[in-house]
Amino acid sequence: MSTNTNLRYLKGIIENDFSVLQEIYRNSLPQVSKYILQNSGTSDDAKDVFQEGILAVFRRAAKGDLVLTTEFHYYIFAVCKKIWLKKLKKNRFQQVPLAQVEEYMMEEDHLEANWVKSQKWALFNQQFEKLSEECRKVLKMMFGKQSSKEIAAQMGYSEDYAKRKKYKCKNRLADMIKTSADYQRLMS
Amino acid sequence: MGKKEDIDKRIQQFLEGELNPEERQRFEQDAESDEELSREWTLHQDMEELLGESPENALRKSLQQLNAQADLPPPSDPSSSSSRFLWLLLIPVLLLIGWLALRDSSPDSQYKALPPMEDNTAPPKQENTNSPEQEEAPSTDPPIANTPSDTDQPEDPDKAPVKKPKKDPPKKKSQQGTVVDKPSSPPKKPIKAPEILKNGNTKEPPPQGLELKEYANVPISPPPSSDPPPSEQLLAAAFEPIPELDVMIDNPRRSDNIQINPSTLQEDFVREKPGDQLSFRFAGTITARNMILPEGYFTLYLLSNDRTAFEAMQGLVKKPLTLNFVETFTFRFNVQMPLSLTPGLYYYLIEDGEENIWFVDKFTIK
Repeated sequence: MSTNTNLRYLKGIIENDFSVLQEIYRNSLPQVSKYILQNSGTSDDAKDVFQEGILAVFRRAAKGDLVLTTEFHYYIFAVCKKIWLKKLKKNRFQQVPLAQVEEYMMEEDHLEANWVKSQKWALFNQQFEKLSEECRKVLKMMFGKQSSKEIAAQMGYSEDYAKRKKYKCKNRLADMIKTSADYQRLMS
Repeated sequence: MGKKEDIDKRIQQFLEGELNPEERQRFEQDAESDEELSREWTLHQDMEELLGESPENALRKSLQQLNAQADLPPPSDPSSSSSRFLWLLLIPVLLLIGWLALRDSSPDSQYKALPPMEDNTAPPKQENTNSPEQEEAPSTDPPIANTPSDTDQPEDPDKAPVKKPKKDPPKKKSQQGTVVDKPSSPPKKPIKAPEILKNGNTKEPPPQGLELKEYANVPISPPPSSDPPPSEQLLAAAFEPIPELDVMIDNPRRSDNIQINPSTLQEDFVREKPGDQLSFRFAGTITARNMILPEGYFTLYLLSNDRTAFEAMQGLVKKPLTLNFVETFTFRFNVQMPLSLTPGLYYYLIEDGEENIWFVDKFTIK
């Protein structure tokens, strides 16, 4: 695998290029999956860990301070291995040979926080999809930092109604999230 | 107003910029010290971060789709390592049994499932009034290598999947091809298969039978000019349909995950003179949801109406489909290749890596 491929993969991850991501999944997920299945994990664990690994690469690459000195395939494998070992609470991090990965993964708080963030993201989206289409539209605009006036203009509401509507929708979503067992488990 | 409502109202006022500077400052302090406000404010910030539009969230969405598509093997059985070891011990025994079985069988038995071949130098040994088993009995003729390739090994005819349709509805006209009227009495003689031409029109007939290439750029020749022109009976045989494939044309396999939408189909072709090349053309899109497509997952086959070749999936052409990404889950394919084919009925189909046929159509060469 060439440097060009590494660059293409990093660019594809940063730009959310689905075909590149597909290629990465095709080439690297089976290896990660095999490792996780051999180490007390399931297929779902493998997918979650792989997703987390890609996101870890994304965060580093988006900051512009990730220069791969090895093939992407090995790098993502090492990242995922680290994530899984952390998940298993095994203190064997030093066995992963890539110094670059060590450096990133020394920030163990990030690792845990990012894992929780991914779990929240899945849960929030799951609950969000249960809202009415109107509420989803309003909240998308609200979380996109659009003002009540802008929401009113786009939705054909009065400004006052837009304000009431968005908080009503937001509070409904918040209640759904807070009462879900997954959220309570995550926050415990 | 209860505390919950009070908290919601303070968050709303803060977000709407309705608090004066002192109130804002107090809110920010309380958001750190007041446990309940802190919890609600954190949840709001999380929702804003995780449900808002950001590159990371967009990437998460794509990854979630890919996760849904990924088809990973289930966790292996903990006892698998011991059973694997047992298999290693069994391999020599199985090899020995296989060798003994092969030693006792006829050297030609492996060719049983290959299509019958007309011997150019000798008349047929017997009239074709026997049972199918007898028809396929090994002969002293050399084998027909129907699909030699560097990359795709010829399938073992005994193991090759035989595609059987689930039902047998009445035949209809195909989407594009024309069904030639079935002769009142089906011909008994085996269908004469064409020989291969390499490098355009340079004839290189293999000395021991015919050899058909899988590659699109290798045209398949008409019969050598020294051969007698095909008899009427032979021509009729060449147009004999394969009912199982006709059924699949009319009743394509359906799935929520895989859909094949052809945009250009191969049309019937009329040869002005022997050796005329057909420009085979087949294009469209494949939608594949909830799965990761390995490279070469779909294969295009071009088959004559030779039933034996169909049952062994030994196509005149076997070509992995090149898929180009169009949008999420959708890929475009476009196959164009020159072919020299003798008059007859031909089928082309798309099969996936699990030997499921997803698309069939046919055309005629006249």
